[in-house]
Amino acid sequence: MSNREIIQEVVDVILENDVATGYCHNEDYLKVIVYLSDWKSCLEFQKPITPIRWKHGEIGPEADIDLSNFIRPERLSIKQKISDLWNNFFKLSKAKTQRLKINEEKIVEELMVKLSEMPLSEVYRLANSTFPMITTSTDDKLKLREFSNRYKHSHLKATLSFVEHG
Amino acid sequence: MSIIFVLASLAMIGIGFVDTFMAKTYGEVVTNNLKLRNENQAIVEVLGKFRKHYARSLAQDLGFDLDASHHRITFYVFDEKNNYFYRFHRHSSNPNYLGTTNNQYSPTQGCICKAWESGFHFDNQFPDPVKRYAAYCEYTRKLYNYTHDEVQQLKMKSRLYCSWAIKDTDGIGNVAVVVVESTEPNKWSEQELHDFFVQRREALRQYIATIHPILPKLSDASNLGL
Repeated sequence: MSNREIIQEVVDVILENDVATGYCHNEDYLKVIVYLSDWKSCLEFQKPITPIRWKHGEIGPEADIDLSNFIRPERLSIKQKISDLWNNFFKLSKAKTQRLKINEEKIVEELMVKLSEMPLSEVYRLANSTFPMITTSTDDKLKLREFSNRYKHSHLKATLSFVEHG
Repeated sequence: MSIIFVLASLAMIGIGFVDTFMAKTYGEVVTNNLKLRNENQAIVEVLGKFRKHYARSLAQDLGFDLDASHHRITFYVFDEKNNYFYRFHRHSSNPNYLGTTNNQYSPTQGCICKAWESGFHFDNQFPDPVKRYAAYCEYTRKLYNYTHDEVQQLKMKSRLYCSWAIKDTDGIGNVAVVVVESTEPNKWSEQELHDFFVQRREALRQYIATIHPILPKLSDASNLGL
């Protein structure tokens, strides 16, 4: 898959899993979720899912690419309408295209479940709480793979220090 | 004929209903997006107000404006779970003093650690790093547990450090530390800075209590496996 196709696949999976809120059609929200997916993938598999180059922005992680171009409703179809007394929403389904690796898709799906109840401000706070964001300043580049190695090292150090003092 | 008319009418109503429903759903997304942007903006404004204006006002009270490029004020918050301090705001008129190579600070080093242990710390006995660099490194190593490499990486080699621990609203545990520093060792006396912080003890506590819930914390991310 080309770099654009990988990003498109990730965005499609995110939109597909955004069952109730439609929040992911918000570019700001989408950006943070893609960042968190890349970071989680680095922690688990030592490499980000997308080729996006991230930097520490004014209010959160910033991508080197405009993700709003990847919000393409025509790639999604309505799979199921879910209704209850007060809410009506659609379950979307992405077209059967080249899929991400199963473990990458799982990362995005699990993330969407974790974040489903959070308002945007909380999701931003969460992204800003990740190791690459909290240890850098505005405009710094976030090389996620390097940061994940440093994080594991510092986490181990903190744990050992806690055991030592505790 | 009338049955066809009724069916056609129902079909049109049906199409209209679907359109309305789709439009309503799309409208909800648009409304949500607008709400999210406003919410986001509100948070940004709160952060901006507290982080920038408050630090700037303290700097003004300390007389930074007169020779601003020699001084700096920084707030650090402690992340208990990860056993590190994180810088969450820094003010200086000298742009060279704003950045650092690291934003994570050990609780066993520097003047942050001294205030964390004793509540207040003042030191203006640092040797001149321009004229006596080796002595400056040695002093910092001996008293503040910094290696020579770490001293070399410091963008601001201050000669006056003063730190104050900010307690939680109950006044029991420390939650943050504020550090004032200057390259001029005699810019402020110990008494001046002690009085400055004592007068603002409650305001600093309130400031941290307000901003603490919305500050990013590494433990929040690590609790979610991030």
